[in-house]
Amino acid sequence: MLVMVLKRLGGVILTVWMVATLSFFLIRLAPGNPFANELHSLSPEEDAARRREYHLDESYSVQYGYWLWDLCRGDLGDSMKYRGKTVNALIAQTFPTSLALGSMAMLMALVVGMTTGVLAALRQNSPTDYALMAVAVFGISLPSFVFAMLGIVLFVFGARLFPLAGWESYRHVILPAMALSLPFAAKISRLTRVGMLEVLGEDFIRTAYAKGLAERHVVIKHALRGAMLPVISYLGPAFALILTGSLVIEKIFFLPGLGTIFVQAATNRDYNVVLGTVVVFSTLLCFFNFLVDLSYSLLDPRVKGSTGE
Amino acid sequence: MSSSPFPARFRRPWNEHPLSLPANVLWVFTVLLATGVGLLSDFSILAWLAVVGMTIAATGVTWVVRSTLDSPNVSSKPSDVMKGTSLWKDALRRWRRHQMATASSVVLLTIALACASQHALIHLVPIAMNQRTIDFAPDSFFSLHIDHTRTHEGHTYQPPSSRHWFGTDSLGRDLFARTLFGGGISFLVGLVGTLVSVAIGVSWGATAGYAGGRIDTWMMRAVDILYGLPFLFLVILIMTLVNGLGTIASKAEQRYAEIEMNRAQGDLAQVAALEEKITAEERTALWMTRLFPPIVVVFIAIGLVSWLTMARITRGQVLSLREREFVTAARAIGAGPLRIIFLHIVPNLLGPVIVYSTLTIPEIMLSEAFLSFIGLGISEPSCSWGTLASEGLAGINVIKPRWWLMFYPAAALSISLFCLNFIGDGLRDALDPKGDRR
Repeated sequence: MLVMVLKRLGGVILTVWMVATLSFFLIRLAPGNPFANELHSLSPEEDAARRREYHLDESYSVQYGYWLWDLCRGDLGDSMKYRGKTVNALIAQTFPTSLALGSMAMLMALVVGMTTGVLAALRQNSPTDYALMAVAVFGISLPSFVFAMLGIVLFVFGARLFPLAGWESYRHVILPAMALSLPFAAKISRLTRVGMLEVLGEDFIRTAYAKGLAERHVVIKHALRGAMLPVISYLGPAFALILTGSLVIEKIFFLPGLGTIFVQAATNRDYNVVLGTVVVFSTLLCFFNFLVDLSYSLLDPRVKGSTGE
Repeated sequence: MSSSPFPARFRRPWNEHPLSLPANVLWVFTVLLATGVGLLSDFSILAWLAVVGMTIAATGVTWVVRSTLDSPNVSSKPSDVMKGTSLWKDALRRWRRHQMATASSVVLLTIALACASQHALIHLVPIAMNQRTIDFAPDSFFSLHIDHTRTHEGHTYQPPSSRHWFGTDSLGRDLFARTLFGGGISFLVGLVGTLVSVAIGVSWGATAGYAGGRIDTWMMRAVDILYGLPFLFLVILIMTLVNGLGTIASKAEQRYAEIEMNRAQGDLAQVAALEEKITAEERTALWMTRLFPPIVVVFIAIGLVSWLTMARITRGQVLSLREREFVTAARAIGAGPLRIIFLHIVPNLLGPVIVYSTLTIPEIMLSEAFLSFIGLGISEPSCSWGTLASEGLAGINVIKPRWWLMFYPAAALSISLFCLNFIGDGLRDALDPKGDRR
């Protein structure tokens, strides 16, 4: 078990390094430089001084060496666009917003998706089932910005339940998180339904019913455990999609999150900020996938033998 | 059911019932209308009457459906079972039973045909640098509803009317024409991106499944690792690179146009001076964008990152197919592995591959819309539904809610994606009945 955990952690580090290296060269290959778009154009001397300051006058391999050494020490460098701000400070400033948005969306997706999925499975082939699954197709197929706009029209301009944009209180997070979570709620709902249907047909469920257990007890204690497995294995890709989906949601609701500064930095060629956010995003993602794998092997007795090694 | 006023021959199970789909659709629209009317309070009493009317109608239809509902497990005509049917006939029967899929395919075909005919008409009328060889009158059908590049002067930000069906944008371009044009681009990206992902996914999965053993383990391990990568971030970085190159290339193109103009005027000194100004960077950028236009990069990039599920599905199928007798027979004749994979195994994969590529199209269209929405996908002279929606978002503000700019492209995109997903689900039930419904 310990060997497996260490192996997987090594894999996490390797993946993050691969992604970071690829991004390092991709963003430097893009034409333009971080000092090009400023209001007053820099004189050649100033430009040269800036380049020296950020080691941009060196060759790519030397720059890469500097950056990797800094990364190993946990220093993501200075922003090239926002002068005097370190990337670490920028990330520390914006990360809580993204974390709140992402975890809230994940939680909503899980709660809504699993409840509707179980409901649809218990009433299989009834109008409830068909209606819920039709709504789920809606949820899967619509882009999140459409949900966001619908939400704004209905709840902000219409019912005046939530504020439009910005980031002050908990009420600011609900609408964006709702818009972000809907596609995943729909997907989780379908997965839960399939999983439940499979488990409900098995012998141990019939045994449980035969023992005279209440339906609530059978469903929650016996069936749901097996039905969770496909959902858990979907959580990894879902997390990746929530991370990328948050780019759009943050843009619509003007949230000061990681996604916003990533897109801004990519268009401004703020090399260090781009790489910093990519490192944070991919670390989060890989670590989350690692946790999912771990919990999967803990929950499913069949997996233990194959990955336990 | 005994109290039903209808005779037994009217009974149908839910999914074969001719009225079950109208009942569902009616309820959905009733609820949508009611929420809309309730929340946006500036509707008249007529709107409320419509809501009440729709509720009554929906209740009525639902009552009819419920009182003629049969158990889903009983086949309505038992004699059907005795007749022999081919795979495709059987699939067609199952597909017809899926009412939502049939309805969706009609809607989707209408939208796709409209977009395709707009593209065809635009390309039949040659447009070079906004100078048309045939000049249409500003009020003709072509310039009002088909030409997405014409700027109608004095008609900026027009709300939808009988003149401009979907309204106009900040430059006075007709939004209906632009929505059709954007739809064509979105569908193109979806289709070609899917082809790219299917080509890679099927070859990868079939090779891994057929080879088996250590090669299979390593190839699938690679897929597992790739699943965990934050791909869209890399695609975003690729798109910034391409967009940067595009800006430089358009500058270079302007310079070349200027050089050509000077050469035509015989000003050779000026030509030499201008040619000297063109940097090596501009030349490479121009060469690169001619080789890979941004739209090609969009669908290659998105296709390259969405083949993983296809590879997994293919491998699973191939693992069971390769043990079958016809593969052994082919091997006994002396067919090589490539021949066996692509001539004997891949044709047998057709069912699942069709199903999952139908489900990949909306995913790729969604990714494209996502990229365009954050400003990194299709760029200016061209447009897609994602770009249009993004422009629409910029046009919405509290003082002047120009809702049509966002509404129509987003609605077109949503409806198409919805239809594609339903068609995919229907195809899965028809062609791959044992496949899991995910």
